Amino acid sequence: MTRYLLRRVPSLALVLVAASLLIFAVLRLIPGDPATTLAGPDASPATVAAIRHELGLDQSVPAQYVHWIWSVVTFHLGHSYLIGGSISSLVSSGVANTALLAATALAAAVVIAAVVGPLWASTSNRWLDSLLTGANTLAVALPTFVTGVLLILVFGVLWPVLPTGGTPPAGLLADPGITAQYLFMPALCLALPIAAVLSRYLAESLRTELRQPYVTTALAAGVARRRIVVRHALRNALPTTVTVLGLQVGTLLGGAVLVEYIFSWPGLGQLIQQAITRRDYPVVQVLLLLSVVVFVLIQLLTDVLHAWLDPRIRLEGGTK
Amino acid sequence: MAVLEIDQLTIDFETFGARQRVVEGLSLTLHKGEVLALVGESGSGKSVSARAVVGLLPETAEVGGRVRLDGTELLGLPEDQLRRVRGSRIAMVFQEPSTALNPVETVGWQIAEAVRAHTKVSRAQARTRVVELLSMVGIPDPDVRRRHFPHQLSGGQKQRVVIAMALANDPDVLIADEPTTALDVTVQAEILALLRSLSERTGAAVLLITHNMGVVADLADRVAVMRAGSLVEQGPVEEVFAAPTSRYTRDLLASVPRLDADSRQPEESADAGEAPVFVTRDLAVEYPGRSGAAAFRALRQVSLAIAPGEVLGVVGESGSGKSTLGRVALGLLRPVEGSAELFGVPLAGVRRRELRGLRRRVGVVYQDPAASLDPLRTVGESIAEPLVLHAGGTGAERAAQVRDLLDSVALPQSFADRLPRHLSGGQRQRVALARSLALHPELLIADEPTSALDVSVQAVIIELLRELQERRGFACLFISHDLAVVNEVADRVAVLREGRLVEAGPVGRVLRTPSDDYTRRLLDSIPVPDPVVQRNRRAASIEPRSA
Amino acid sequence: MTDLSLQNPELAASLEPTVHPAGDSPQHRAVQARGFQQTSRPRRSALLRGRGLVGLVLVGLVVLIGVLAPLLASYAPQAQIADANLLGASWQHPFGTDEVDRDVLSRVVYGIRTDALIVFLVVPLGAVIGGVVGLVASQFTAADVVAQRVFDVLLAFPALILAIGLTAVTGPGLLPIGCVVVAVELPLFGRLVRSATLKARELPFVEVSELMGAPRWWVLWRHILPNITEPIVVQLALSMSGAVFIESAMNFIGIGVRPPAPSLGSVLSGSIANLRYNPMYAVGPLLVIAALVLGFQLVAQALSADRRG
Repeated sequence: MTRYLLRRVPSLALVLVAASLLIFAVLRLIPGDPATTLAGPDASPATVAAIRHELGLDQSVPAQYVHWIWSVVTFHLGHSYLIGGSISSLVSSGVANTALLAATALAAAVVIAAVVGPLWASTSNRWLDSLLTGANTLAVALPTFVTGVLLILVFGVLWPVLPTGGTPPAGLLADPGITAQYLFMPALCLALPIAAVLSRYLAESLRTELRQPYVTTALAAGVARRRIVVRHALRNALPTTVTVLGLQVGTLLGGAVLVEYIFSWPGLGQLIQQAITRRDYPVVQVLLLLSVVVFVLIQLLTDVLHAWLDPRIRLEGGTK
Repeated sequence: MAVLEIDQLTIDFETFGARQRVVEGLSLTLHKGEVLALVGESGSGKSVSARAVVGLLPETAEVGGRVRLDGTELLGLPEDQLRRVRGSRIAMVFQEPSTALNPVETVGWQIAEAVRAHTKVSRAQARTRVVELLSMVGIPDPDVRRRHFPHQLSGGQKQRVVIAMALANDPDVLIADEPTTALDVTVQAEILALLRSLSERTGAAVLLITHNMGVVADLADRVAVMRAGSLVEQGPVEEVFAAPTSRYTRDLLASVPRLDADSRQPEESADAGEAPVFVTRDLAVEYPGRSGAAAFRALRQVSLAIAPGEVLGVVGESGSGKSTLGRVALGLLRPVEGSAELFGVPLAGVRRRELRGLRRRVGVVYQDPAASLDPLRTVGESIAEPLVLHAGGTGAERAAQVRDLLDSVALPQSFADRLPRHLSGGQRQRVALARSLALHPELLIADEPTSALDVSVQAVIIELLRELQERRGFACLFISHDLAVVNEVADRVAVLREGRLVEAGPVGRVLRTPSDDYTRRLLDSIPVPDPVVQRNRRAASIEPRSA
Repeated sequence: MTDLSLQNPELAASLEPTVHPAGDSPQHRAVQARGFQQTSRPRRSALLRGRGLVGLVLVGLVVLIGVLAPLLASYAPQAQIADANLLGASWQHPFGTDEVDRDVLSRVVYGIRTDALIVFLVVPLGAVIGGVVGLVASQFTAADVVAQRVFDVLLAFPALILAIGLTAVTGPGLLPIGCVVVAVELPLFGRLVRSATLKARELPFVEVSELMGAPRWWVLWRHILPNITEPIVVQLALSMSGAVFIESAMNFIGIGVRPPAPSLGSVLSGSIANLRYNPMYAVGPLLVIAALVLGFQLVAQALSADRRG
């Protein structure tokens, strides 16, 4: 397992470094002087110079990169001139809100997939199979913003029972019941495509596992079919399903941009959308990097989990 | 006393709305303590019948007739009651031990799972039973081994574990579905010995499903022969082998390649001293290790030669390096030590262009008839490919050559327009043979060319290969795990074991009077398709082995 | 495991473990590699029945509406109509009007054209570029190392985040949408073609062709490419569905085509704040986007189901 992981870490580190260089370089390509853009049209040359210094733009390009990376590592991200406030605090409050939303969505998706996947894989009822296939196709195909607007149309306009956006006025931690009302639609919206992809994959790999000879062996030994699905086959399908889940989590931030935009949820997605429309490049830059860091960390985590769940990888080189 | 009675069993499969009958009126009786072999070629319905007994067929199958276990009807039994029969009264052993076990659970867990499926036991009781079963099937250090995962065991050990699972609840009937087909012969001999001793010890009746007549002769008391879904013949094994009543059984037995058959007389090499087509001297070959692992040495110190027009059989078990030798001859692998020469050209440092020229003089036939032809190209296109690449000529000339080649492998010329999927395995292998001969090679490399085929088809392909070889006079490197096949095809034989050349010489000498212990063990392990001879051989070999 | 007789593990992993009707000989079943033999029925039939047909009709209908936009729309997409602020549905304005007095139906109908452009022009372009990169990577080790890392980096960005990063430089517009779609498709097709090619190269008939002295291009052109087209076509349908998503999403968050040019995403995004006044505002883009993504998904499902036989 160690050897397996040692092989994965360098390539992930390489992705991180390459992506950070790419983000850094691309934002250097923007026409015009970022400091002038940030300072606004009426700023004095002294203000522009001060901003330029704070952003490190008066240094050489490699020094600028190091300066930037260091500011990210130490989380001293400077000041946002266009959105207002310190970037660090903008990011950290955004992280908290997005994390709550994403974690809720993820938990919901996993629960849905854990129920639907085995049911779908083991059902011999044609109607149920068609129903699940149809629902799944819809959930996979419909974009987040389509379901989002649809939900608002249904639960906010035609049958107004849920708040159509924002966060609880008294704060997220004040009343769990109220928070749940606010969370319901955005989290469902974010969870649906993940749940759909995950259940489809799980059902598909369970079906593959159920055709494997070891399942016949277990059946022939008298193990009950139900137990074979939820214990034998599921355990075998788990390692790759975890990897698929990891890839889905990696795209959560993309989905969060849309969901937070629709439901005015004050998270990272909304922050990056604001930053891009206001051309606040330092914020965009940090958030892009953050997205890649999250992606790489989740990749690493899923790799570890995958290796640990599969004894053929876990024991390779490890104990022998 | 009858334990299992199968009466007028019919099985239909529904595919794309069409019904297909695969088993028609099969009636069999399995008595207590006996071994009944159900034999037949692929498509005969032997495996489906066995699975139908315990309700393990997919839902598209419809089963009719009666199956009674100690008088209790099994067909139509609700799943829950059938489950209680499976594993406790009737247990099964399967063909492929490497996939028959759950790869992510320990073998101990899997055996315990079989125990727990029928009896409530504590953790400690389950562990004791697992250890007991593992030692019963001859696994050393059972208390350590039970914690191992399948991938940490050898193929033979895995099959022992599968057998232990089957025995977990002392079944009355053991259905063994091709239990040794995926194993090497020496391992097969051990597993057969184990099955025999277990059936004697536990008194379980065994329904042995196999295509291998040697295995039948070795293990069975009675034999039932199936063909295309119907029972052709059944009776005591000695009678059926000595005097088969049906023509099919007779043909089947005649098709089985035999070690005691007359081997080819090496041709009096008038052209002795002619330069060999392929020769190796102290050859060593390595496969590079992945991600820092040490390189794997697949061949070491191998010295052999193939004279023009000579058929050299290369035999060995899995991991012996026999296929690797073929890859060296094709220039796919380069020697790391020693030398390999093809048509007198050293392959170690051969240039790509030169290698191309050499390969033109070599034909190849691989094992897998399904994968050796491009599924999207017609038979004619596949056969014509080497001609297009090398020979030039007009389309009409090539078409004529393709027709000639089809003639030479005894296929109708109309096959040129067919796609591989419309051909049977044996027909595909003929096409592959025709393609390999298109450029009149001086050397044919045949890597297990008949291993995926049924015996009757194998017999025909071997006959064809021999005939073509005699007519065209090419040399042949014939790679096989089956010594009996090599006996029928080769002039000389080389025995490989774990990358080393154990013994080489004329087929008659090596296979009759082997000088090496391993060759002898290999030969002893192969069950002879004759129950009387096999019993005598066993009696003779049991004495020294158990001592 | 040096014996070829044991089959290579790549191939063994891709075996189709279905029970053959006359499934008697497991060793026979075990030699049929998935995807490389199931080509019996012509592909057309999968699209002319069941799911495939529904998908094709959905997509065809939307495209037809887009093509016939000038006939179907009663107003120019940018035209501001006097006294028509956020009107509800009526015969004159089936989807009502928007907050700047434009006919929503006309904007939706014209908005389809951008989507069609991206889907039918840019996705195939991305597929070709990705495919060529994948093919080159499968043939040359040095190119492979570079290509793999490029794929890794591109895949590390979710599509929308990639879109945001790119538009940060270029500003909104049709071209950035195209670039993003290509950047998203590149690694998908690159990896697919690369792995399918490498897998196909291990097949005995390909190896035999190489051994017979066939040049590399011959093997690729005659044996490998024809045998890997099916998964590529499936991916193409999936990618088209994905491209509709990307295009609409970028327009939705305001980094797509420049206003006042019409697009499905921007109509949808504009509707959110105004649903209370004109609930039909959202229905048009919802229907069209749903029909497109669903249509392509169904086509992909039908094709891949057909492929597996």
